[in-house]
Amino acid sequence: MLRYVLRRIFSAVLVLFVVITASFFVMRAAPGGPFDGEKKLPEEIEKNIRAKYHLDKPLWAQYALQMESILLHADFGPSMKYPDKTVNEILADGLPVSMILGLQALFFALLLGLPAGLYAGFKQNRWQDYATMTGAMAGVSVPNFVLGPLLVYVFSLNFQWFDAANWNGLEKGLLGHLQSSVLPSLALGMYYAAYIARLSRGGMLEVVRQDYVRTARAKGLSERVIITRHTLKGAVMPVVSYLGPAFAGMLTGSVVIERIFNIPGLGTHFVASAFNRDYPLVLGTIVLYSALLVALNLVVDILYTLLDPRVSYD
Amino acid sequence: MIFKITQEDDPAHNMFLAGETDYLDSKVPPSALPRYLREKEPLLSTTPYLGVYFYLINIKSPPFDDVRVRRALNLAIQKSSIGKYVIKGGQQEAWSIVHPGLEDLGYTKAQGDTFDPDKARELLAEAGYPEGKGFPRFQISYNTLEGHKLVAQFIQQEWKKYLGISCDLDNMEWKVLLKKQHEKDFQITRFAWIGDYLDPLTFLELFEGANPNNRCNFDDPEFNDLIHGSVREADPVKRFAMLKRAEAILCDQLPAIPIYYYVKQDMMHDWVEGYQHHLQGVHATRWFRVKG
Repeated sequence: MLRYVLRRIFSAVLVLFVVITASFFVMRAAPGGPFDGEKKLPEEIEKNIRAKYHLDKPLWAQYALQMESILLHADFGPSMKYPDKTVNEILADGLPVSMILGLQALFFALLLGLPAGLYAGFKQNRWQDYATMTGAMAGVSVPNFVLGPLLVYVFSLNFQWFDAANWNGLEKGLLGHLQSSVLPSLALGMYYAAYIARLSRGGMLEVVRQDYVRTARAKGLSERVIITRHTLKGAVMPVVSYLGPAFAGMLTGSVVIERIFNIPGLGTHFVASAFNRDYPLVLGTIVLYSALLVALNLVVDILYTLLDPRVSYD
Repeated sequence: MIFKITQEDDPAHNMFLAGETDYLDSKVPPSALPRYLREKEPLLSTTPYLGVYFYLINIKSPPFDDVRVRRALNLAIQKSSIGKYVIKGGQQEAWSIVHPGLEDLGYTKAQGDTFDPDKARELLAEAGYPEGKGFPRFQISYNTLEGHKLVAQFIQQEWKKYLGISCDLDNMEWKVLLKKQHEKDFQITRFAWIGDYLDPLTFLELFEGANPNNRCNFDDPEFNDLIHGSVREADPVKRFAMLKRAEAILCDQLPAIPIYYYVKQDMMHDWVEGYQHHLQGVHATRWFRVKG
């Protein structure tokens, strides 16, 4: 197991190296630069600015400098769009917000999706099953840029239960935080809730047909015991393997939600930095997201071995 | 006073509607504006804003090197429709480059041509393209945004309808468009200028030959002299006369087709008082008060 984990970490480093290199060169190949604006800068000033950010050096030298700074100091350097901030500071500000939003959305997704799916699987081909799966189909089909404004319209503008576009950290108390974060978490998590419902229903259907469940029934165990002790663990397996990609999807997919609800997370920078040609910030967000993706996948693979004794990496 | 900063219009607008903010500075979403304007929404204020939207023409690239072609293009756009029916934001049609709000300073604007499709067809025929025959297909370049697309589509149709000429729309990312404009690699391109200071020169200097922001190859000796002279002229009346003459040269030569003058839309709840209009959108927040 340890050897497997070490091997995965080693390959993750390789992946990140390739990601950094590819994004560095692809970004530089895009037309336009960070200091092109509506007003053309006077030549001398532009020259000075380019020198400050080493943009006057040949591309390979810039690459070497950037690599050295990232690998030796874990420093992405100053942002080119926000001169008073370093990329590390921007990431440190945005990441916790995006993480909290993602975790809450994941929580909602599991809270809604898992019981609904298991219940539907257990009541296969009855009206409860059809009703739940119709809801899940709707959840998968409605994009979050439709759901978000809809939730705002109903719950903020009409009922005034939640903030329309705001983000209160926990320093405003749990209630203050929830008031601003429930709607975005719901809007972000709904697709995943629906997907999880479909996965867990499928998992349940597969498990209830297994011999050991039939044996349990034959032994005369109560339905409650059969569900909780014998089917649940097997039924959630497909959901577990989906959790990693789901959480990664919520982190990277929060771009739209962060814009709709004006949330100061990473998503906004992820898109805006590319449009602004803010090279260090683009690199910073890409590396961070890639590292998270790789790490999450690893965690899921390890979790798998704990839940399913048939899976082993030795 | 608490300032809440948003990237997008919609969250700012929602915060205002939910009563979380008292005043909404210019971020009224284009999707909501037509209804507000139609229903004369009392919380909305529409005021002139020191900016002009125009189409730059690369005047060294044939057939646009012929001033008759440029004038025909300008004459064949019913610009009054744009603010009303195209982007529906109440923008004011523009036929010359200086924002009319500056007339409050005592400046008198030069008069440009106005919508006249018959004259446009005549000029195009004189230039050798009767009914648009033989006119090469060309491109309008603009940066990707719904409003720019609507304007470009409208102008494309106007030119087809009144002049019989065809063009393609080429949208691209903002930074890519800027690069093309700086390299003068375009035929016709969307551009806009928000005035930096309250004087006609803020718009006119864009077309001075050596100005780094001059992107359309326009370099007219008389125009340049007027701009340089206006900087040294101490008598404000004479100075404005020089600038008016310079603006008139732009109306004749048309290195840029003015499309519309900007307006600014703000919203404030009726419990807010002390709002003062400012052409540059610099509202002195110290005078804002919440009633009661």
